[in-house]
Amino acid sequence: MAVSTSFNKRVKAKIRHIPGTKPSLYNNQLLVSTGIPSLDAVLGGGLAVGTVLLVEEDLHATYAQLMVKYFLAEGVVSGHALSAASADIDPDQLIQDLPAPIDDVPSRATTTSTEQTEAASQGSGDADNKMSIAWRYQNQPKVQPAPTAQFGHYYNLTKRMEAEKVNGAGIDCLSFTDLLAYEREQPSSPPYTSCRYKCVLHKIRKRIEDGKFSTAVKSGQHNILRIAIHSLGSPLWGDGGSLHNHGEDNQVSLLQFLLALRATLRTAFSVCLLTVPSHLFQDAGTVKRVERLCDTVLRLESFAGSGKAKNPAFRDYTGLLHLIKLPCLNEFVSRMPETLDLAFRVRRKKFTIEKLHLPPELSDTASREQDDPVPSLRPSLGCSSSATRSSKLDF
Amino acid sequence: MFSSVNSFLGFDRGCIGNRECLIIGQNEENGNFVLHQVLSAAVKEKRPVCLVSFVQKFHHYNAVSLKTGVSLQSATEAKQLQFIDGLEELVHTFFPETYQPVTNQENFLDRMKEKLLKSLCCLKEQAHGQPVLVIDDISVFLSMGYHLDEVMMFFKALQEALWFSLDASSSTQNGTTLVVLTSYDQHDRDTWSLWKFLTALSSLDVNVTGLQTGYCKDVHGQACVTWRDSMDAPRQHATKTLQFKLMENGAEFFAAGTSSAVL
Repeated sequence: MAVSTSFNKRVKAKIRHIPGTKPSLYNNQLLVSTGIPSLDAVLGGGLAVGTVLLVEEDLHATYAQLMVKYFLAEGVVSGHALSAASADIDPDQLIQDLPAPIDDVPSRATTTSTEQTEAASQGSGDADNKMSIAWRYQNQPKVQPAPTAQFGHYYNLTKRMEAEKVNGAGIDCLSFTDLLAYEREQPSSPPYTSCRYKCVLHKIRKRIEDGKFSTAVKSGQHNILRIAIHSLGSPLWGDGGSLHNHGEDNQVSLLQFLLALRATLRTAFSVCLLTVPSHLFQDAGTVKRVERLCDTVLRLESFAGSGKAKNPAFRDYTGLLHLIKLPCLNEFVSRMPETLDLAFRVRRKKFTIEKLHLPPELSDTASREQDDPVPSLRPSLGCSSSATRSSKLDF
Repeated sequence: MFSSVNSFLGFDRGCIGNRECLIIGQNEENGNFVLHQVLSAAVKEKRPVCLVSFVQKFHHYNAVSLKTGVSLQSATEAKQLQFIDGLEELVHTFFPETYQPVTNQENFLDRMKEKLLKSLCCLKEQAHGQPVLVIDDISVFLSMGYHLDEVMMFFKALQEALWFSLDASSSTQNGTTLVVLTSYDQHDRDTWSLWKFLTALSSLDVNVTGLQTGYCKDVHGQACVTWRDSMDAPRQHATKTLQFKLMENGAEFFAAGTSSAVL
């Protein structure tokens, strides 16, 4: 009697390593880095290939733009194909201002070479050296850091990436003038969807087809296509897409575009980073719908211009990071990080994501107690009669 | 593992009953597990299943159901399951490669209805048992710009066709079971109304919500099931609310406040 079973022997797939990627430890998906290693850790290792990351911009939008730069810089360093689009700013200017990677490869090379010369100079006497204390480790092989293709790099915000490196990456830029030119070319378009969204989708599809990024293409070495779209859905994109023309501001074109983008990316070696000015949307329901159509959703809330900047609890941070949605792909339950209280911090050289914690209370209060609030009113009981007492220890 | 969702829904004999209309509502992305479990149970029972998705690709459903021990791939090969990639069809309609007339978009819902009925007819000829139609996220139509009325008309017409036209030829009393997932948000008037309207037409609905106190590692949310009385299948109108915790291959249900983490 033949019993049908869903059990299949797992045949080990041929490993095609793509630079700058790694398989997820949780669900075997191929991941790429966002360029911010601390964000990768929050997202469970990185961004899954074929998904869309949505960043809801903060009120002044500078930090979301910074994340776009990190995302593009990581693509340049990893040798990925890149596309950038924006209606609000010129993407050409954006890519001229990418942060430079902190290059630790030469330093490592020099240290290993010096170690080798030292070992050579010590010669055979080194081999005869018997360990007298930690003798267990005598026969252990010497540890050599394996030269692996690195996943995720660190960047220095004070330096710019070299222009030839950026230009050599061949970044496909799509600016507002390109969008308008496409709109003019279309003679009589159906009125439902804004032409500018169509233009972006058309370009993405063309790029995937030309660069053979589709998963249907079996032959050859694959590469990753990174797509960054800055301020999608801002007023410059123009909505005006409704099946009924009720004149409601409900961003139908944006929603249609997001669904199409998801469908396109699912079958391609590609990831997409979108930043959306959700604070400009009139309808709270629209924001929810936009979030539902993306795979991973983050919201940045900077303290700039809000009362939270003065709050001593937030003294160490630049803003809060809200995890709205984590991807649930090929599994029942999405992996959650250990804490959802996250904040971001921008220092002179770097942008990091950290767990939100309060500053230690001890030092704060201790220093306050020692500071005499009204030192001049107290009668001086000490031996010193001088009025200009610099320290309490002075007599 | 199956039994947890099935027994919660009260399907003690058979997987999802006959001629039921199950509406699954979710306010966050947390009701998917009910859909996956019902889908797996139906496939396991060898009922003909038609799955139409407007949010995910086939690979996703296959990978999830493999965790419950059911292979949708082999069910497709055995002609027991038919997957309709509604996502691709929507995209082809709204973002065509070449210029297409305007009416194409307006008639999308009609064409989709015809397509579903046709594939169900095919399935009925090839497999035994009462068919099951699963629609993943009907609220996507609202996002695409369709009006609430149009989506409701689509659903009502589909239900009528399934229960009255399609089954008129067969002598059995039983009919197709419809399983529909919809996402809603209380701030979004249209999706909220759609969820309310759909429950009014259903015979059974499940409302999956997150906890009001926010995310919790040990309690993923709360599910409320409502059984409605109907003329064909008289039963008690009843509701049941339980909390659940999702696991790698299923869900664990418990009464509110009795999570194993707190007892």
